[in-house]
Amino acid sequence: MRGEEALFQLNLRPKSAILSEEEKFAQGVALFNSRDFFDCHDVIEEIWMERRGKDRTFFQGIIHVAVGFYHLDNGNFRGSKSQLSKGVAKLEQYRPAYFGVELADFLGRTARCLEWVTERERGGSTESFDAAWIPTLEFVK
Amino acid sequence: MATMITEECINCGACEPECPNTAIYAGGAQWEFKGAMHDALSNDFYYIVPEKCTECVGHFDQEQCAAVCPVDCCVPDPNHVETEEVLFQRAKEIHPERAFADLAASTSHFRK
Repeated sequence: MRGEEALFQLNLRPKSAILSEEEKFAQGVALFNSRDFFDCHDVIEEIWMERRGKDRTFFQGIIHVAVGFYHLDNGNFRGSKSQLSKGVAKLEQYRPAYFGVELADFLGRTARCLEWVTERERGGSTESFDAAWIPTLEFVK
Repeated sequence: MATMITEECINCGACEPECPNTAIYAGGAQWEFKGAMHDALSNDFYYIVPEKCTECVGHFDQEQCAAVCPVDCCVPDPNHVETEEVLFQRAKEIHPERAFADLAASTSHFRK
């Protein structure tokens, strides 16, 4: 048994540690799309920690958006607004797609959610949040 | 102290082990300083103890908590602006066992 596999079996390292970067990213995308936003951030963070240069901001942008929706889930509208804003700002430069995922629609839908959170945080919105507004990350063909 | 953790904190814990002054604690955890224990400053997310933070002056060229935070929630506290001199003196007091060299760009973000 490989060392890393052994460590995983002993529950001493997260399983994502034995995945390639592409596999980790795919895992992160799947977690985002199933709305496991905290776990998504956890996996993408592993990639972000190792990256340098332009790509680093892309992964952090995804993390910001995931965390923004995590805070929204928990009713932390101020935190959500800040994180979604940071995410949208960081990801803008990567339109229309980057690292295999579509971003134009993703950012549009994230911005719609941000709009609601902003209004709600300001105390201005009485409209209920529609979970269908939450975007998914889609791999481009 | 002039670094704070905002309510955007997701409690991932990446910052805590990076602090050279052990100034960061998990939400709800008591904090220790000079042998005395104190009640947590936050029960909901990680927090930085003002009396123990030196903005990494004396140690690194940037705040290590901010460097490892994936959500950029370790930020300057506008309500606690401190000079490099004050922060360096605090570092010496927290680490009396250490002989600090004169500050340089590598040990103070003020000189970057």
